[in-house]
Amino acid sequence: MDDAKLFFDDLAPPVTSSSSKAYDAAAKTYAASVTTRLPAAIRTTILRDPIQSLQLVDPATNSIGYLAIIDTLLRGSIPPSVSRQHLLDSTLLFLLKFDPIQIRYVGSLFRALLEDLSSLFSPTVAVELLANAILRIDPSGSTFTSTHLVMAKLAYDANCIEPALKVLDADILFYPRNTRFEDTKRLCDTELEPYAYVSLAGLTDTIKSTSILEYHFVQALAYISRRDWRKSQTALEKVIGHPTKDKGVSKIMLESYKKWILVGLLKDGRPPSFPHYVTSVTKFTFNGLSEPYSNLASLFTTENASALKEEAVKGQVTWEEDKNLTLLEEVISSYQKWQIINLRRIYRQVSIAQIRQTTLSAHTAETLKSDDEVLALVSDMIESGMLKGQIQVGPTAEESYLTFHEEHDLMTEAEFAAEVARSHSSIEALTKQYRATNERLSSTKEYARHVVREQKRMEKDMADAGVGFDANIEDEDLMTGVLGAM
Amino acid sequence: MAESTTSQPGSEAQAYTTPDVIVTGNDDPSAPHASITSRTRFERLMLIGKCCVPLRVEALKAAVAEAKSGSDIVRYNDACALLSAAAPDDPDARMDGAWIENTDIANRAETTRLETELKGYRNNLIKESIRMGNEDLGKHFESIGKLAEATEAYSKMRHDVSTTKHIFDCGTHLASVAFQRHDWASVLSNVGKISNIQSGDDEQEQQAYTKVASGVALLGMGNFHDAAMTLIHTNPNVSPAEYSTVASPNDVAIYGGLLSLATMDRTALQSRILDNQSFRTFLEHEPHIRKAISLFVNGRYSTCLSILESTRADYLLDIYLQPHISAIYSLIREKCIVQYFIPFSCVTLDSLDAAFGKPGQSVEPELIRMIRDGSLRARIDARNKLLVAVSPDPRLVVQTNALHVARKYELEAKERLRRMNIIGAGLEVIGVKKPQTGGVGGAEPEEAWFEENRVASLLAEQAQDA
Repeated sequence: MDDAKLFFDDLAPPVTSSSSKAYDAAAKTYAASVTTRLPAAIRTTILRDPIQSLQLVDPATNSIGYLAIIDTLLRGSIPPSVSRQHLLDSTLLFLLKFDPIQIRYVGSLFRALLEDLSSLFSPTVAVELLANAILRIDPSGSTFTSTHLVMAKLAYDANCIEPALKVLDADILFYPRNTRFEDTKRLCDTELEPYAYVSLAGLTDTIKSTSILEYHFVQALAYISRRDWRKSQTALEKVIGHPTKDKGVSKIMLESYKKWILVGLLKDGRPPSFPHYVTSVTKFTFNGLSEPYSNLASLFTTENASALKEEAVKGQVTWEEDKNLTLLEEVISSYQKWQIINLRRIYRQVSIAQIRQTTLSAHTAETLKSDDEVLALVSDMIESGMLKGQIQVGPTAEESYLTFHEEHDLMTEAEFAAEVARSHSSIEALTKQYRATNERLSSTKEYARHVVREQKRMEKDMADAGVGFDANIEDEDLMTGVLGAM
Repeated sequence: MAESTTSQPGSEAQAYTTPDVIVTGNDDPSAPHASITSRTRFERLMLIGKCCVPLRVEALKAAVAEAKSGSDIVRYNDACALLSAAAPDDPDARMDGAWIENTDIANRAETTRLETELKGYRNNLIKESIRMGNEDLGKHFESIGKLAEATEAYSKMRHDVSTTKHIFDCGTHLASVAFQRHDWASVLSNVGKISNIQSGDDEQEQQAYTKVASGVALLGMGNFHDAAMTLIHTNPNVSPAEYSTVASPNDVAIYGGLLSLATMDRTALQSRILDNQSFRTFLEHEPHIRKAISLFVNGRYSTCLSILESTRADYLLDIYLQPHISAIYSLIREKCIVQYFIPFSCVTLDSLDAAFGKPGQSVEPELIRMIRDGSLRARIDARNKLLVAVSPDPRLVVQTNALHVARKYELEAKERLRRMNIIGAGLEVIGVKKPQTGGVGGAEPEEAWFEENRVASLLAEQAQDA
């Protein structure tokens, strides 16, 4: 065991001065020696006495070594005397404490561990750990990794979305490039951008466009299950507006489009309008393949509840095939709610009896049966925050009134200033990222090629212009001059 | 379009026509249209016969007589059929078979004669004769009710015109046929062609005709504002005979007045109608229209509306006004309500009912419709029975807008950055290369090939770099 301790300690890179060249080299060697080149003797020692070996190194200061030990233990066979729970506890401890710089040197091993988490822990714990790990690797959470998708799927499938929210809520802005990396910077450089080290360190698998689409799709589903229509709409918009080439429209995009219509109805009470960046080809494909949805959406804003109901029944098979039945039910139930909300454009105060007479339920295409049902519906809406208003209950329905409030609350000057400042700083941060992206893209091969091509074209244009105004051609010899030049 | 349908005797009449409007007012059928020449006179009589219960028999009898004095068999048949449905025992209701036969023969003979004559003129290549031949033929077709043929004959006149008067004649003939076919667009285009002709002496008369004709056509198309603007510029000093084929001065006053009332605001009404000397002359024919306008301008809306309401039945018997009268009236009503509400920040519904409501009927549904359409900026307070003006808090508006813009900008910037990076990383959805996802375009057999190729090229690149 002492050999093992010596082995892990001696070679371990120093904790401090973590951006130096020496550190980089040391960490690289160390990572290689404890993982792929781990001596068989040490391996046997570790497997023989797991409990002691787990105490050999500190997960926070020697994450590389600790990960190697855990990995060896998880993959190898441990003596029956040692409970597996102990091993799992150590893994948990490691995942909470690991040093984000060090694990960059054992990226693929770390990723493999993350991908296996769901088989080691209960889904709730696994999701929580994954979310934590993702944010420790990249505190802004703005770079997409394959682990994102693993976590989102796990969270949605096991229905434990709560712990995943901190990752799901972060805006994905960067994608690891599949190209090689400029060698000027070192992995241990704390200044290094996440999108650079994530791919270089192997902290992500190869990303395909489908992974991105799937991630946002699952993200939207997760928000839908939490009834957060606004966020799910944003997520779906990312899918349907995904950049396309050569008229490509993915099946995931189409599925998202269908959900996007329904979610739009739930959120705003009217069919959503396309983000401007969706190309006309994509729109055309969408429209052609989702007729029942657009029909339903156009009926939603009318007062024709029976037609809406009919359309909903008619499309039953479609909804079932697309697995949108429950979402559709939600839409149908919300029809009357939106009718009530739209009354605020007409009334300041309106009696419950009047609401009952003027709004129809899309379930039955009739008015609600009793005023109490209306009262319950309205108070439910107010409670859920869907409707801003207040009910004054009187002795009868005619004397119970709903008062509509302003759609937006007036802020105090301080709140407003804070909000503006927040926007300002976030836009400022974005500007910085824009500059960085601009720089990065300017140095890509594609851009260089483009610039060269442009330059060539310019030169060619100049040549093509033929005889310029400045060229001295004698009047008599106009034709010969031109011909001569050619 | 629904007017109070009090009683509906003679439902057999509906077997022939389906009148949208039933008028039960008492009216003298011939009086208001005395100055109208025959073709529209028949149409007007028929309209009254279809829609006006008390006057139907009288009007239809007059229509039958009118038709019989002409040579249009189809009209005679129509009028007789209606009359026999309304008053089966009336002697006029029986069809005069002999007359029909005789007229038919005479019509045919006349057609043949005119056509032969025209052929003769054509052979002689005399332009003026050809033109006149076409004109005669057109007039004949018009009188026997063959409107399509009449249009064709009249259009042929255009080839042989030689003076501006001819152009004008050709235009008026075509417009007149188009009027009978209720083809408003072609009325406008034909009138447009003659409206700019400079013809010296007759110019004023022609202008009056073009104004009235295009005004009525615009009314027919439902373009109320333009119709009003055209009609109020009619020259009052021109003899009404110039435009009697289309409308009487009374009609000009009614159409122009009502449409102005429906489409102009109070200052415009004052300056363009009441202070307009030339249109005043027309308004003198219809004093109640003038009264209604001045009441509106003076803010006495309910009196204005009640005057208009009292004459609604008359207007419903007008061939050009009938299809639009309810739209025009509701426009005027809406304007009255909006104008009435302007000076107040809130008004009780009771007082609105008192001013605008019909007995036993609240204005609330109408208010709801107007608010929904956006023509009335107000909210109803059903509890206190108030109509409250919308007065948005400017601070709230500024705050909401500012935050909205900021958020939108932020989102947009993020989305653009994201897309830039997706494209930079080559992660777009590609039509051909992604058959496993791009189910839309159909499966692609080349997937493996592409993948391999990509890998190969990547490897090659790497090797090169190394």
